[in-house]
Amino acid sequence: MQATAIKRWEWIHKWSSLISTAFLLMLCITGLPLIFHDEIDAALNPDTWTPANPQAEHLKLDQILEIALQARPGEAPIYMSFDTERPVVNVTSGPSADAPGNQMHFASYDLTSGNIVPPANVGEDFMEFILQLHTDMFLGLPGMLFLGAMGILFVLASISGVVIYRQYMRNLAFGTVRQSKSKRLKWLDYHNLLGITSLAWVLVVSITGVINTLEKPILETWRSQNLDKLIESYNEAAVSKNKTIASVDASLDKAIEAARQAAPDMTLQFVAFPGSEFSTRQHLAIFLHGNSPFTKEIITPVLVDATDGKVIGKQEMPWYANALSLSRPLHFGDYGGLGLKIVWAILNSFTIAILITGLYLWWKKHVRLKAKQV
Amino acid sequence: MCDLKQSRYEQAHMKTTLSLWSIFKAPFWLFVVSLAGIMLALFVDSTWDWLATLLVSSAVAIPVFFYLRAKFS
Repeated sequence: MQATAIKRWEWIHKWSSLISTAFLLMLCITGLPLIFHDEIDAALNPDTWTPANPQAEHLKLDQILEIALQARPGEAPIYMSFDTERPVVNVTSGPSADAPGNQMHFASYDLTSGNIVPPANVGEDFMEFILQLHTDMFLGLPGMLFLGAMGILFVLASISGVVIYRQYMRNLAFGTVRQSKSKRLKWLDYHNLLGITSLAWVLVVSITGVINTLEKPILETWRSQNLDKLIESYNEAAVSKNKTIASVDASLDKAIEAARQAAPDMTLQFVAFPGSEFSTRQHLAIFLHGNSPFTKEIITPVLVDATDGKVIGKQEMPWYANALSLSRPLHFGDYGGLGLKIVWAILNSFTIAILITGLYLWWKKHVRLKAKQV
Repeated sequence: MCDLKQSRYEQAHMKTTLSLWSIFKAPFWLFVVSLAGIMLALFVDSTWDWLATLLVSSAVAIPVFFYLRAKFS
């Protein structure tokens, strides 16, 4: 490789790293507890709850919805989701279906009695703070997009790092650590070794992180293009962006049953009510997922008219929405059991070491060059 | 032991410039194995998750091995 090309790659590596290092350090540090989110939740909130009437027939979802809305007078339903291990239904409500996240209220209900299930929220404030810091630094969409840009810089730093790795390693065997040489060389060797060995993980986590930062634009595009297309195919006149949010007159149980018939081999995941981020202003969007380890990450909506309960249709999510669905587990490493989470955490710690050694190497070089100039 | 140390030293300070493949052979295979593990865990469940974890942990085991080797040799 020509000297000018090497210098160019070194320049890219230096600046893409320097600009993003502080933010990447924050992302790595806040990412550590997020990897073990489930374990931390379980440790802080030991599950002592039991259903009131374990043998009793489950209440209808319409009844649960009624109980939930009676408990929150004046509020509208936004989402309903289902606990996979307990007979529990979660209802999210708010002042309106399109209320922002901080105005939403979440409550869980016992399907055997309709009683409220005590919230498992010890430590929730802390984890919520960490998640928010990691996701958007409390800045909403601009914060998310900014962190996405930092993720792109990290991908660039990783790729340029591989290119200049060749220069540093042309006379050294793989894995060489010059322990007896200067501290700078030793740190350089560790920086190179950790960087090249964790490359696949770093690229996967940073690229999926960038995709996750595009969540809002992706959902907006999906809603405006795919959902509207689905409705148009059913009844063109039904598409009206200015229409007020429809009330749910149809039976929720019947709507879910109809959705299950439209997607017989799938499992119910959640219901988005009219006006919410995942639905239109006139429809219940009933989301189902597949049953294999891979397809359970992919959700498919069935749209049901909120007024008469008629199924509008089922449509596979577009590729970019599926990419978003797959990016979540691939980013947080919570899809392969505790063992994978531990490996994820170690590789996350390696990335912290790569960032710190990189900063140290830059500083040493900077000081040396300054001394030369003097 | 002495010979082993000698060969490691020679290996670590080669006079000749290595070819592109010699430099990237080990990183390339490590990349393939750890990426395969990351993807495999998406497609399998339960016991197969351990195989996926094992493949991804190669990215942890290799630097730890070289760290220990440098520390104790």
